[in-house]
Amino acid sequence: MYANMLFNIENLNGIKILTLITFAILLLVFAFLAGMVGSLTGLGGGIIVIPVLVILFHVDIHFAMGAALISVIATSSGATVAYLREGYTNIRIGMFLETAAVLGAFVGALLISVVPKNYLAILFSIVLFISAFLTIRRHEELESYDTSHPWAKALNLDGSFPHKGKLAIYHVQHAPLGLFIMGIAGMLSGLLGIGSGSLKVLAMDQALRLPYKVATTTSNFMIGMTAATSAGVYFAAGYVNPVITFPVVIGVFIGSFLGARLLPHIKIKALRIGFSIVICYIGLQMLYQTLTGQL
Amino acid sequence: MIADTGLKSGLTIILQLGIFLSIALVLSGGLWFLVQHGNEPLLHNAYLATRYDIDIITIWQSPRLFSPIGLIELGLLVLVAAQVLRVALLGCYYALIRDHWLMSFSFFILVVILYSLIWQ
Repeated sequence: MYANMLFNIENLNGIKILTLITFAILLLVFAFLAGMVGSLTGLGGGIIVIPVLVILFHVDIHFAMGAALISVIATSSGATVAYLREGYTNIRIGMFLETAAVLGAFVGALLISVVPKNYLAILFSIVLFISAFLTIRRHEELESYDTSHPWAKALNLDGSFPHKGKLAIYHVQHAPLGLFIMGIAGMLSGLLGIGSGSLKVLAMDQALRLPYKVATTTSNFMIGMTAATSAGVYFAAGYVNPVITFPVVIGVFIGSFLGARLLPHIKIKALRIGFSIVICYIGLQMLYQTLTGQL
Repeated sequence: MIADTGLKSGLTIILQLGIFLSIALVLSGGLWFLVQHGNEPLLHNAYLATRYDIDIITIWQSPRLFSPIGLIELGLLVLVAAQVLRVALLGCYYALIRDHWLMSFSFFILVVILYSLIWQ
């Protein structure tokens, strides 16, 4: 039976007969924790919830990606509302880079029906390792440049942000490289059902040389649009299963909301390092289960 | 600057309404679903093994809309629709201030999202 392929009940911590309500509550709790930790570490809930669904609940990876993708739209929307108020988000840069991200997302989402599931799991493990690495080596000091890239001048992309009680001006660098990385980030988002926040921040931080807070908030602004593009293809392909998606969306959304509230009261650096190690372990576990044919 | 503030307010309203409505629909549908099917054993449950082809165009005519699954699907669509609306708002805003580059970017993004939503 297909349900047996979806959920390996025997492996679920010895629980032999699981009812739908117990399953929904368990999903809600894990999605809540994933959303909270994802929000605190900046990794996002989607990248954590997919391995949890696949490894622990033995959910089909396509359904796990569908559920995570929708939860990413919810959390990105909530965060965008908060960040727009703070004045860090650069909407012009967001819209400029999003042109490449939506194209990448559409292509990536089309590829999921072609790419074998074990390849998706391996690629996902690699993305987990990269995300963990980028989270640890994150630097938040402010660099300043006097000139801007010609595209940035033509499109009026330079901006300012609140810094030490004043408005600090920043100049955008290497716009074409940023656009290229954003296309790849969009493709990974569509292909794996994640927000690709780490890669988006990398494009803006390392290529465009934006201040870190501007990069993270602008990335958040973009994630919902990128994920909405992939969602259309996921809907049509039948990868969004409402029964699996509803506890995940609600859990991740509430978790990330509370995580954002807890953020100022927690020592984030230690949490980031600890959590990056956990992410690497989950990546290894996923890689091992895929290579040994258990997924 | 005033126009920029207005744009941010518009975006905030669209996103807040979208999330609120979406979560309300998804939660109602989810609870309704669990009231009806919560005690069914997972192993034999057909709902979890089904591929739900959520079709944006026909969902409105579908009798499934007035069911727990239909409500959840509608909530998920509202979440996506909020993204479409915010891109449309940005496109209109940049058209109004005659910023042709940003207007083109916005409408390009809108076309790609809409195309993906009607893609079969």
